[in-house]
Amino acid sequence: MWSELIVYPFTNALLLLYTWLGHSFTAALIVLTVGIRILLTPLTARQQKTQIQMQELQPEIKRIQEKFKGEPEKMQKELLKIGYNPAAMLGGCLPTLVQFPILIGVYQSILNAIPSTPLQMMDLYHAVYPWLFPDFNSLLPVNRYLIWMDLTQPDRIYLPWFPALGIPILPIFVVLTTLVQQKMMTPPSTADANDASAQMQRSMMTTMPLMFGFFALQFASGLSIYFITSNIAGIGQYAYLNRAKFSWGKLSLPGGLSMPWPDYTTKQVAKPRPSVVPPPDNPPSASETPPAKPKPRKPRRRGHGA
Amino acid sequence: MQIKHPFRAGQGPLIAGLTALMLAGCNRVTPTVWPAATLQDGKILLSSSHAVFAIDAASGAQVWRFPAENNSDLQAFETAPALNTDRIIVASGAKLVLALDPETGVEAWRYTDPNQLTKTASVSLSAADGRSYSAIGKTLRALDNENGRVLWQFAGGDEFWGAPATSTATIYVPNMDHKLSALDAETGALRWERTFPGALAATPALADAALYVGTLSRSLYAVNTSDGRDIWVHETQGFVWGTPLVVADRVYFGDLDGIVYCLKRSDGSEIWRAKTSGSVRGTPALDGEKLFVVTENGFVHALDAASGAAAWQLELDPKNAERLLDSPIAANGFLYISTYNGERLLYALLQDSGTTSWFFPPVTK
Repeated sequence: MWSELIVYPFTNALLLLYTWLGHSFTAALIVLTVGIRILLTPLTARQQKTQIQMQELQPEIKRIQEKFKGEPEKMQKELLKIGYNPAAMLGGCLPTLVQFPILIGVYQSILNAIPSTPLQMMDLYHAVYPWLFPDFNSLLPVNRYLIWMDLTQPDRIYLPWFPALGIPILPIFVVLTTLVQQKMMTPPSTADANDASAQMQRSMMTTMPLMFGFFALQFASGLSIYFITSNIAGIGQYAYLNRAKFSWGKLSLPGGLSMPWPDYTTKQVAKPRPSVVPPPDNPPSASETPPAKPKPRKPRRRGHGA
Repeated sequence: MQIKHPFRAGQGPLIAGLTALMLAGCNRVTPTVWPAATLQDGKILLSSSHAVFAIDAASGAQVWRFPAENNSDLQAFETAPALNTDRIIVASGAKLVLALDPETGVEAWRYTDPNQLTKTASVSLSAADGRSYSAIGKTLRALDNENGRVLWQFAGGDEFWGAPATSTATIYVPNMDHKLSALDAETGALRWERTFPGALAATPALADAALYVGTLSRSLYAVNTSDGRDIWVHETQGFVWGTPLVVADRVYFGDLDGIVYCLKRSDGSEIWRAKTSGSVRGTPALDGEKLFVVTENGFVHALDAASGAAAWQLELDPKNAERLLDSPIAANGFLYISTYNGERLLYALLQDSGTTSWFFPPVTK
């Protein structure tokens, strides 16, 4: 059932793209990945919008937390006033959950579509739709090599002067692109070093790239190409959705590293209220921060009557 | 009270769960074929995922195994052992070729492929006249049977999934790049080469001055051994992956669409065809008047060799045996069948009825 619904369609799609794109499996994989990202756009865009909303609310949340310390009910009310709704934001997990079965399906279809072993060839024979590939045998063997890489094997490049060590080029790129994407989508951490939420964010910043790097290190390098393409597409999508406020130069990586390009904001950003957004390097203490008034909300009109 | 970001607060278990899901869904990259068996001197030699076994063909008792203890470094032994006069040649997915003593299973020598491009590679083997021919990935090597020294090597356009067909002076090497090459057995020099419309995944059958070559282009070719030119071509319904069986004036083979064919050897005309229950990957086995084929979905068919009429058929063992992809062996009134990924690696059936006589490994309580 899993194979028929997920793996076989992806396998046939990959082979079809492989046929159209001059027998380049890498190009087929990149186009399929972008296609999947486009199909998932309604879900991922919602997730990213939620995260952008969280980033915008973060200073106010922080201020309310400081102000109403010890008054949880009042704090909840104030948080609701500014539009912070934890229940609604939990929906942001959905795209991640949806993507994992797809990820596994894509991985299995990569191995299916480029059979590197006789057993995989047997599986491919049953997976291919005969009506789509009446001349399927002409595609065999599927070209599974890209420069030094065998897409069915974990990526390692062996240098002639140091053959003992295989350098995992693609897994390194997987870690870097995941790190950048993770950094972009993580709301700025609060100033409080003991804040559990901030600690969780920092831990996520480290664990997610390492986890995906581990996958890339262990599994076929075709999966790494999927990760990298998907990450780059995600970065681009996020930068577009948040184009009003996003700045490449402001991205800072763990360990105090920053992006190797200048702070360039694609669009003029409205100055944030100084009372709400503390400067990241030298955050003022709660006592120094003047209490900010909640943003006045426009009264909603009921109907069109005057 | 600390308000946590809801998407992050519960992510520890989420990450752990997704990691487990990912690891479960994506198996490690381990090239695999299927277990394969050969009969020699009353012993079935069986390559399996973790060892090579010598099994008494009459009783099913284990004579020896290599390695004596499981050794994960050796990976899977999934290429049929190649037989030479005084050595058994086996190969593992870890790009190793090993020579074993036929009586004891003790290792005589080993050859390790130096190519580091991939951790593992598909391997095919054959042996003749004091040489063994091991194809690992895209390189075929002739090894000295005494010490494993490389005598010559030949680079293919793609991988060699089928082992070379051997004769005294020439070996015929099928390649997945659609080419069949005839090489001088002594020096490895190319004598002739020809291209087919489909990939060649199996060893060609060699009989007299003709080679019978199954292709993934849905055809069986009979070609001259002298120059590789066609004698005849027979189109099939599915991929022809198994080595054809050539007996007297007939050629028997199956295809992946489950059709078994019997052709006239002289002109390739069809004498009969029979439909089975699933893909036929291996070579049919003939003993007396019965032709035996096994199918990928676990069925064994006994056919009348003269007419193709069904004598009997059965599903081998749906609980303990998965996917029958290796060629069956018919000898001494038994039909030996190795299975892929099942609890039982080898079955011995009675040829007359299909009743299971014994299986290996036996059930231990």
